[in-house]
Amino acid sequence: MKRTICICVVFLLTLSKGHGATRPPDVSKVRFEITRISKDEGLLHWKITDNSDDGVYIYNFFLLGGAYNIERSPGKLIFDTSPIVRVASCPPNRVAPLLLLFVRSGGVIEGDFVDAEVKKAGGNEVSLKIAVGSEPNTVVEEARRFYNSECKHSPYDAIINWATFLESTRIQVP
Amino acid sequence: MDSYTGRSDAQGNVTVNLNRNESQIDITSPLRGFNGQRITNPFNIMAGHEVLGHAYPRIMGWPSDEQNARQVENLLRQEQGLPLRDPNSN
Repeated sequence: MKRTICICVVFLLTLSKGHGATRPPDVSKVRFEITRISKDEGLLHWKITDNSDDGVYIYNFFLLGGAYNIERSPGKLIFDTSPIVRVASCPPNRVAPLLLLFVRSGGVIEGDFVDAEVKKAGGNEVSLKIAVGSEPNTVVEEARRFYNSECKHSPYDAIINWATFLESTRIQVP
Repeated sequence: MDSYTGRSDAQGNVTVNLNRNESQIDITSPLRGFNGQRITNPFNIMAGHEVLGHAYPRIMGWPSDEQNARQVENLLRQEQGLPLRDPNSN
């Protein structure tokens, strides 16, 4: 009898872990698109639509531009609005605050991303990349721990551990 | 990308990545001094912060955390006659 109860408890714990607060968001139902471009202004107008059953959080310090980093490949540029690669390091010289934008279930948020590199991207396809998470607390805690980790982790690594990255639709720069 | 100091390798060597360009955060959220005023973040000060504030003490086995690096940075700023960085300014 005791063994049965133990097995049941372990089974329930396993299930509860699967539905814990840190599970990754279901970004398959989050639509991220670029709806307009102004080459002269270096501007990409973006739209995020959350069709999932839960709200999602977007790391937004660089969401209005300029980019944190630009991924370049022939004919294509991706403007990253978040760190996307873990770098085991001391905190960088400047550390951007961990600001998050909430998009409620069923909600739509639009904005303008501006970066001078868009003006120079004629003839290329461009897109944006965002970091999406399902809850706001663990990432803030982890970033604080990493900041004080004696250079074992960059605080930005917390964003990468927390996020699922979502690339927008691409648009051709005239 | 911003300037940063990596972890020590197996031989105890440390890599410093210095970015001469102004980073995006310097444009979006300029560095602040003790009176909340905007202050410059020149390349030589960034290099001093990374090399003398993080890398050198790591190699020597001394404290090399961010607070230590900002103290070293402010010593360098003082020597150069530059306004000091508020250690709490990101």
